[in-house]
Amino acid sequence: MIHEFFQLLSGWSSLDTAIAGSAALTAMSCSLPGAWLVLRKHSMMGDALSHTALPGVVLAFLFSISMKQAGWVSAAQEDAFLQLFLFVGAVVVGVGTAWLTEWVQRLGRLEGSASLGVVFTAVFALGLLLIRLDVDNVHLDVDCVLFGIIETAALQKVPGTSIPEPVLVNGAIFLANLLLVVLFYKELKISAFDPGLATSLGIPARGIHYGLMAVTAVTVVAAFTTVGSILVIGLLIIPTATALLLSERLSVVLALSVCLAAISAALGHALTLTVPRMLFSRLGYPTIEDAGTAGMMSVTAGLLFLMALILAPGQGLISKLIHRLRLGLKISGDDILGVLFRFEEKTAMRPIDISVPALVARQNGMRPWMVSLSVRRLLRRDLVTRQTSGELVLTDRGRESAKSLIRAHRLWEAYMSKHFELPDDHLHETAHRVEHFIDDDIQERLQSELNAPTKDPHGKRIPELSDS
Amino acid sequence: MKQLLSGLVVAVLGAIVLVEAHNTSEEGHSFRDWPITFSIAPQATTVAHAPEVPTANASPPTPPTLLSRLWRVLSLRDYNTRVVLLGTTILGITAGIVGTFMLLRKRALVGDVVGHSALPGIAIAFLVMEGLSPGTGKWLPGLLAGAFVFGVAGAVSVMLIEKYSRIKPDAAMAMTLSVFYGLGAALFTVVQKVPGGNAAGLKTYLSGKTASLITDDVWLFAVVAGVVLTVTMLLMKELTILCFDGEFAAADGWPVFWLDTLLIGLVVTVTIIGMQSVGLILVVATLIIPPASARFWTDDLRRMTLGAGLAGGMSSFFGTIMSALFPHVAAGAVIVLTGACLFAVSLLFGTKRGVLIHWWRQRQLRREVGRVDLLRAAFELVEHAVSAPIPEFDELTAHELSLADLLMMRTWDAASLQRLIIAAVREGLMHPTGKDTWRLTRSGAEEARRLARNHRLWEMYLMKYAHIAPSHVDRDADLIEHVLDPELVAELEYQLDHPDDEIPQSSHATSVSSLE
Amino acid sequence: MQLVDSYSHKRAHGWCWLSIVLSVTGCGSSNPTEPSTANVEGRYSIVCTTGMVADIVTQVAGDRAEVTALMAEGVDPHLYVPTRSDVVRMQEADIIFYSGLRLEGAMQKTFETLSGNGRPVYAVTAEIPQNDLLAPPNFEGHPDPHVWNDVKLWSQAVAFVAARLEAYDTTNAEEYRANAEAYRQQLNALDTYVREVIGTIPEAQRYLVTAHDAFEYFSRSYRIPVESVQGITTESEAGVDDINRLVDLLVTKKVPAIFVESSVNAANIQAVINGAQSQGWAVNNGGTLFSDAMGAEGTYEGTYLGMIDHNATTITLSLGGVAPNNGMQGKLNGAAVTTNQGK
Repeated sequence: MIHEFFQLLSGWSSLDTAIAGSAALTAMSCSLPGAWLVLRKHSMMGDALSHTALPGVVLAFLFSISMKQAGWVSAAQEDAFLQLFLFVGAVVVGVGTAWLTEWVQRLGRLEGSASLGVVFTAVFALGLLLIRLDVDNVHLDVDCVLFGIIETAALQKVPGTSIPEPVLVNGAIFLANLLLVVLFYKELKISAFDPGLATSLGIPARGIHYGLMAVTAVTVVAAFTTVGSILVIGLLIIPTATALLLSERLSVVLALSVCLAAISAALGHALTLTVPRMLFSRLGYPTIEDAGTAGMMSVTAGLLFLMALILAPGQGLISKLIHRLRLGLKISGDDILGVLFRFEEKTAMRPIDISVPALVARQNGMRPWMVSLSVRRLLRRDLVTRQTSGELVLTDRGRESAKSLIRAHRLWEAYMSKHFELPDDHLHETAHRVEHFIDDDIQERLQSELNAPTKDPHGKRIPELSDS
Repeated sequence: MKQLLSGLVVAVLGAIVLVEAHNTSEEGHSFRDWPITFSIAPQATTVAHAPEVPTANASPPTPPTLLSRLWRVLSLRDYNTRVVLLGTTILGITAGIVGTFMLLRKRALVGDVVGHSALPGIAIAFLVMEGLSPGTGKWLPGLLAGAFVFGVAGAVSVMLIEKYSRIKPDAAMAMTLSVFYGLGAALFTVVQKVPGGNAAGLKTYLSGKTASLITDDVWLFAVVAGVVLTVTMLLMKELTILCFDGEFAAADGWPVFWLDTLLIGLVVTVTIIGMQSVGLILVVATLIIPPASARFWTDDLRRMTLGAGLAGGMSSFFGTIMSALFPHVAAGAVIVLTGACLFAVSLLFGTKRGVLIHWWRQRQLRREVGRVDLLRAAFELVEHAVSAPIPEFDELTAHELSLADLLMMRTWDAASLQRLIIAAVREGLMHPTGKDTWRLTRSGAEEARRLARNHRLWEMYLMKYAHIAPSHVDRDADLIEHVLDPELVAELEYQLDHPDDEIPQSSHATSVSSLE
Repeated sequence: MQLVDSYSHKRAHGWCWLSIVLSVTGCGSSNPTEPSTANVEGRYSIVCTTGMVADIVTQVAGDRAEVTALMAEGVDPHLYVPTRSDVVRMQEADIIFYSGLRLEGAMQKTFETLSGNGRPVYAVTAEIPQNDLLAPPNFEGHPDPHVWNDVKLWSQAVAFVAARLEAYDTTNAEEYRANAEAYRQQLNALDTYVREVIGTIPEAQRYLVTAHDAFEYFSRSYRIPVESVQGITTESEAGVDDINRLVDLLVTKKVPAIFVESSVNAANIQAVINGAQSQGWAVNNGGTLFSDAMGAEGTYEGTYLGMIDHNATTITLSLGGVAPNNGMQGKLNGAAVTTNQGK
C-alpha cells in the first residue's frame, strides 16, 4: 500500500508543480487576511463572499450589456470587458458586504457572525431576485463565469515564460498583503484586541477595520477568480485556527498560518494524486483516477488541524490528557501517603473492610486503575512498602514526604480559619484540594504569618519538618 | 407563554385542514369565473428565424388591476399560493424559534454549516446506492439520509471543536463548513466520473425551490414545527439558562452538552427538511434574520422566541404575497429580503436595543447629567459665596450666577455650559438677569438643594459603609447620584439617621476642616 | 518554489497587471493556427467534452481515432469540474472538440489556453451562423448553447467536425466525408421523424412544459411552444405568480402532461401538477427528458439519435400525439413514458 502510494506519487509532473505552486501562493495570500478574520470573529466571511459574488456578477453583466448597447464597447471587446467587470463587480459587492456587516454589527451591537449572516443572505437574495427578474435566459452561475478551477488555471502561463499565471497574480497579492501586515502590524494588533485602547492611542480602529475588510474582499475575490471558492474558503481560516493551537504569540501565529497554508496546498495535491485512486479502486470504481484537488486541499488542512488538536504541545488533547493523568497520580499518591500518615498518627481509625487505595479512590472519585498505578509508583520510589499481609505502610522517606503534606494541609487550615472565618467543618475540603500545591516555601511563609502554630483548628498537631 | 405557543400549533393545524378542505372542495368543477391572463410568450426569448411558431398568447382580455390581483392572492384561490404561503409561514415561525437559541449560543450561521456539510453525505449516499444497485443513485430518502447524517456530523464537529480547543464558535463553524464542503466537492468530481451513474444535477438535487412547495412539504413542516414547539415549551427554563449563562449552567451540573446536542438536532432537522423543499438560502436566512430582529425589541428569552417566530412568519407571509402578486419575483429571495427589511426596521426602531432608542437614551442621560451638574455647581457657588455652612433658600434665589463663575466650577467648555443653561432656563429652573448672568428660580433652588443633598448623603454613605477614602468619594457619588430614586434616598436617610430636610455638609469640607 | 525567480519578484506588480490585461484581452480571440499535419500514423486521440460531441466525432472518425468524452453520461456540462486527469488528457490529446457557446462554463478559458499553444481545439458550434442561434433580446452575445435540441442545426456541427478531421488527416479525408454524409443522412431522418410526430400533437394542447429552460431550439424547430418552471441558471427560481401562470396555462389549454429533465429533481414540477389538479385538470408527469446529457452509455438513449428519439417520442405520446411506441427505430424500451411521480 505504501509502495503503491509512492508509485502513484512518482507520477508528479510539471503540471502538478504548477497546480501545487498556484494553490500554495493563493492559500498564502489568503491566510494573512484570514488570520485577522479569525481574531476578529468574522471567520465565515469567506463563505459569505462566495455567495455575495452572485449579485456582483449579475450587476456587472447587466452593466456590460448596457455599455455595449450604448455603443461604448464593441462586440469584439465585449468578452474582455465582461471579464473585467465581473471581477470588479464581485469585488465591489464583496467590499460592500464586509462594510455593511461591520456597520450593522457596530450599530446594532450584534454578534459578528449574526450580523454577517443577516447581511450576506440578504445580499445573496438580492442576486437571486435580479437573476429571475432580468437575466433568466443567460447562464450566469458564478461557478461558470467568475470562479476559476485550480487544475486548469495552472495551465495558463504568463506570456513568454513558464510561470503559471496564478502564481504571479496571487504571489503579488501575497507580497502586498505581507507588506501591509508588516507596515500596520501594531495598529492591526491593537485594534483587533482592544479597539478602545487603539482609539485612545490615536489609532483609527474603525478605519483599520474597514480597511482590513476591503483588503480581505479584494484578496478573496481575486483568489476566487483564479482557483475557485472551495480552496479559498478553507485555506482562509483553517491554517490560522491550527496555528492558534500551536502558539499564543500573534507574530508566530501569523507566520505559522502562512506556512501551514502552503503545506496544506502542497500536501493536499499529493494526496489528490494518490488517495482517491487507491480508495476507489478498492471500492470497485477502477475508473476514478483522482478527485478535485481544491477540495482535497481543504480536507488536508482540516486533517492538519485535527492532528494539531490531538498532538499539539500544551494545547493538544494528548498533552492535556497526560497533564491530567500526572495530576491524578500526584493527588492520589499524596492522598495515600496522607491517609497512611494519619493512621500512624492514630488520629484516624483504620477501617478493616476497605484497603487504603480503595479508600482514596472513593474519597477522590478516581478510577481504581489510576490509584493502583500510583501505588505502584509509590512502591517504586520506595515511599511505601507492602507488608506480607498486603497492607501498605510508610517507609521513612515516605513518612517525611507525608509529613510535609500534612503540614501543608494543617497550616492551610490554620490560615483559612484565621483569615476567613469559615466554620471548622468547611476547612478540610479546601485544604484537601490545596495541599498538593503548597511547597516548602509557601509553608515557611504560612508558618511565619501564623506565628509558628503547633496545632491546626481541629486541635491536631502540625508536624515539624524533621531537619528543621 | 405556553398558551400562546399551543395556540400557534392549533392555528397551524387548523390552517392545514382548511387548505385540504379547500383543495377537495374545488375538485370537480373548474374555475372559469375569472378572466385569467397570462403572458406566456417565452419570457424574453425572441425567435430569430421561426415566425411560424404559434404564440401562446390566447387573446388576453383586459389585464386585471393590481387590486384585483391582490384580491386573487389574498383570497387564496390558487393552490400554489395557498401551499407556499402556509408552508413558508410555518417554516418561518419554526426556524425563527430555533434560530433564537442558535443566535444566543453564538452559532447563528450553523444552518449554513449544516447545509454545506450535507454535501459529502449526498455524494456518499449516491455512491453507495449506485454501488449496491446501479441506477438507483438518486433515490430521495437515501440521499436525504446521507445529507442528514453528515449535517449532524458537521454540527457536532462544531460543538466538539468548541469544547476541546480554544477556537471560537465562528472559526469552528467556518472550518467545519470548509472541510466538509471541500470533501463534498472532491467527492462530486468522483461522482461525475462514475460510469452509468446519472449524476447530473445531483449537487443541486436536494436544493428545493420555494415556489414549488406541495402539500406533503407543508405536512412535514407542520410535524417539525410541532416537535420544535413541544421541545421549546418543555425545556424553556433549561434553554434560558443555557443561552444566557452556558458556563454557569455547566458548572452547576446542567447537562449542557446534551441540551446543546438536542438544539443542534433541531437545527439540522429544520435545515435539511427546509433545504430540500425551499432551498438552503431561505433556511439559513430565516434561522438568523428573525431572531436578530427580535433581539432589538426585548431581552427576555420567551418574548424573543415569540418575536422571532412572529418575524419569521411575517416575512414569509408578506414575501410570498409579493411573489404571488408580481411576475418573476423569486419566492425564496423575496422572503429573505422582506425579512431583511424587517431587520432594518427593528435595527432602527427596536424598543430595547434599537439604534434610535439607544441614541435617545444616551442623549437623555447626557442631558440629565448636565442638568444635575449645572444645578449643583450653582448650589456650590452660592455655598462658597455665603459664609453660612448651608445656604438658605432666599440666598439661593438671590445670588447672581455669572457664566465665568459657573465655568470655573467644572471642567466644561463655554458652549456646552451655555447649552445647559438655555435648557435650564427653558425648564424654568433659572432665569436670566442680564447678559451672561442668571438667578435660580424657586423651583430651581429647590431642585438644587435636593440634588446637593442627595449627593452628600450618598458620599456619606460611601464613606461610612463602604470605607471609601474621601478623595474618591466625590467621583463615585457623581456616578451614582444620577440614578438615585426617592426610595433609595429615603433608605439612605434612614441608614445615615439624617432628618428629612437637612443638607449635610460637604464631606470634603469636613475632612478638610478636620485635617486643619 | 522554483517557479518564481527573482526577476519576476522584482517586477511582480507590473507583471500582475500586465498578465491580467493579457489574459483578459486574450479571451476574445480564438483563431488557432490551423495545423497542417498531413500524415497521421496510427490512431490519434481526440478528446471531447460532452457525449453529444463525442457521438459526432465517433461517427465521423470511425476507427481512425481514439475518442474520449470527458463528461460521463448524465453529467451537467455547465457545472462539470475538470480534475487533474482531465487536464492531462486534454494536454495529451491530438485534437479537442467541445460544444461551445459557453456551455462548458469555467472550462472555456482552458480551451483558449490550449488552443493558444497551437493545439487544434474546436468548438463544434463555431460555424453555425449567428442568425440561426437563439439569443435572448438584449443579450445578443450570449446565445443559448443547447443547440443539439435542433437536429438540423446540430448536423451543421457534423460538417464542421468532418472538415476539421479531413484537414488534420488528409490521407483518410475521403472516409471522413463518407462517414459524415452517412451520419447526416441519419440525422435528417431523425429530423423528419421528430417534425412528423410532434406535428401529430393536437395544436391546442401542444405545449412543452419542463422544469428547466433547455428546449428553446427544440421549440423553434419543431413548433411547440415551451414553458419552463425555472430559468437556465442553476440558482434561478420561480416566483409563486410564475407557477400560478403555468398552472393556468395547463388548465386553460388542457395540456395533458409536463416533463422533467434527467438532471432536475422531479419534485420541482410536482407543485405544478398538484396546482392543476386542484383546478380539476389532471396533468401527468410525462416522463424524463434528456436535456443536457445523454442516457447511460451502451444503451440506445446513450447516443445522440436515441436521446432525441426518446425526447420526441416521449413528448408526443404524453401530449396525445401519434408516434410508434418504440420510437423511430424501434429501439426505445416500450412507451418511453416512465412516470416518476412524487418526491
